[in-house]
Amino acid sequence: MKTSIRARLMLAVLLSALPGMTAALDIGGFGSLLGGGSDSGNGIDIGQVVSGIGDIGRTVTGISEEEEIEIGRNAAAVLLGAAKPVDDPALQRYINKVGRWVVSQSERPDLPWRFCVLDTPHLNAFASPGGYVFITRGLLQTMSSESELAGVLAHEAAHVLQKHHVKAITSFSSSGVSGIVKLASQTSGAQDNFMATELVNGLKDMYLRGLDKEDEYEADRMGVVIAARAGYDPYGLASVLQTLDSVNPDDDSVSLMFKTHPTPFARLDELTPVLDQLDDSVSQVEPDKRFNTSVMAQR
Amino acid sequence: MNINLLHTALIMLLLSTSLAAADRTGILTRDSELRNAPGKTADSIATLAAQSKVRIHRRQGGWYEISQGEKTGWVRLLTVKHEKNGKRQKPDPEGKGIDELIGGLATGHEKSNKVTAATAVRGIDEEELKNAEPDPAALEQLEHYAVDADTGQAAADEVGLQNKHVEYITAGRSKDNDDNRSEDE
Repeated sequence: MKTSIRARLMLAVLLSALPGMTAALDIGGFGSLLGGGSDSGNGIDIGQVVSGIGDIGRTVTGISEEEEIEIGRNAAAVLLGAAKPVDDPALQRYINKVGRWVVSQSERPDLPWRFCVLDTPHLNAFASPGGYVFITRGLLQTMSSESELAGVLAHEAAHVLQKHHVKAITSFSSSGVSGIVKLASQTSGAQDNFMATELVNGLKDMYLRGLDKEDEYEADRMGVVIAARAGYDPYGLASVLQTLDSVNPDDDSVSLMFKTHPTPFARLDELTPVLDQLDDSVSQVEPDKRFNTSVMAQR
Repeated sequence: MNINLLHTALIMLLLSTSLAAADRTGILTRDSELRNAPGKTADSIATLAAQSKVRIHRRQGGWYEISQGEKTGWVRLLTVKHEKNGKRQKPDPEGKGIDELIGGLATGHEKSNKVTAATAVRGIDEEELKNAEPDPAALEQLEHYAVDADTGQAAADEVGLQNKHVEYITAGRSKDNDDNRSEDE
């Protein structure tokens, strides 16, 4: 097993040294081992790519929660290499309080949930396996209520609940989930926090490709319900999608999000029948005051 | 004038401007009943035509308060499509200009948003992600911000949020539901 990992690592390095051979979005991770991954970098249709793979989610259940968390720690470390946490402990605590309450209404309340505002003007949100949820400062700044925040955190939490990322990595890893688990667990044992290049690149690929389109719709459907369970107005997420729909899709601030997600309009369309059924649970509680205190300064 | 009063008045003024969402414009995707309150049972004031422009004032649940000409009232959120902002811009590292980006919804945010950049702000676009070096120290930082379930519960209690039982909805594809989406059924 060790030799095969080493061999694949060498192959990955070799492939990434030959730029013409790899697809634009493929940075020499797990995907290159499959012959360059499936999307071409222009006109990417992630949904089409992944949906051809079928019921991979089922096989994912073979990993333990500890292994899932270990993969998540590595994935979160990679994301944090691109953007740092906003240096505002009060804001970070606020996000964690809201997020922790929201996920307490989920089927996996006991995961080590960690929420974080990333210091970047881009509009996006991310999750990593095992309970990591990230929202960018840029996206937070477009919001005007806590129910919007709760909706986005619940959407990301749903990806964690359903192990969508583990499924995505597995779908383009030649070694299957066991290979990734092995790489991820090697990291935690290492004193110097060394992460294998193949693992780092594979996790980057995962975020650059995005998830299965159907998994995004599923996270929307689950997210509005989880937010409603927590007593929030379930239309919070819809309101964020409305905002995103008003952004010029060519704008740099949304380039990665729009590449990795169905259009906000398509998501609203898919969400409509779900929201119609949630009308009765529309909450009147809207903690505007603490949202504004935490998110907006009173200079 | 009492300096404290003046101070209070100033803060109130700042707060009120930051809370008031500026109008955005939208287009109705279908003929829509304009109602005098947010709710399916509220009285209809007028019927607004599909493809006509409206000004969006605020949201309450699944409803927008909007105006068209002299008329003001409420329509379903999902019948309004927001007008796209034509501007294309690089994200401002300070987060200013976000109002322009999203067509003016977040009014007040750009002047008063606390979530501003510290130093050496980086984006999280394709390039940044490709060049990212894993940062285990930042990962460790997250541990300091984490809260337990009891703290989350207490924070919910503080503002009167109560959990309720809601089942997941595995709604069929919207195609089947399109017919039902017609106005305020």
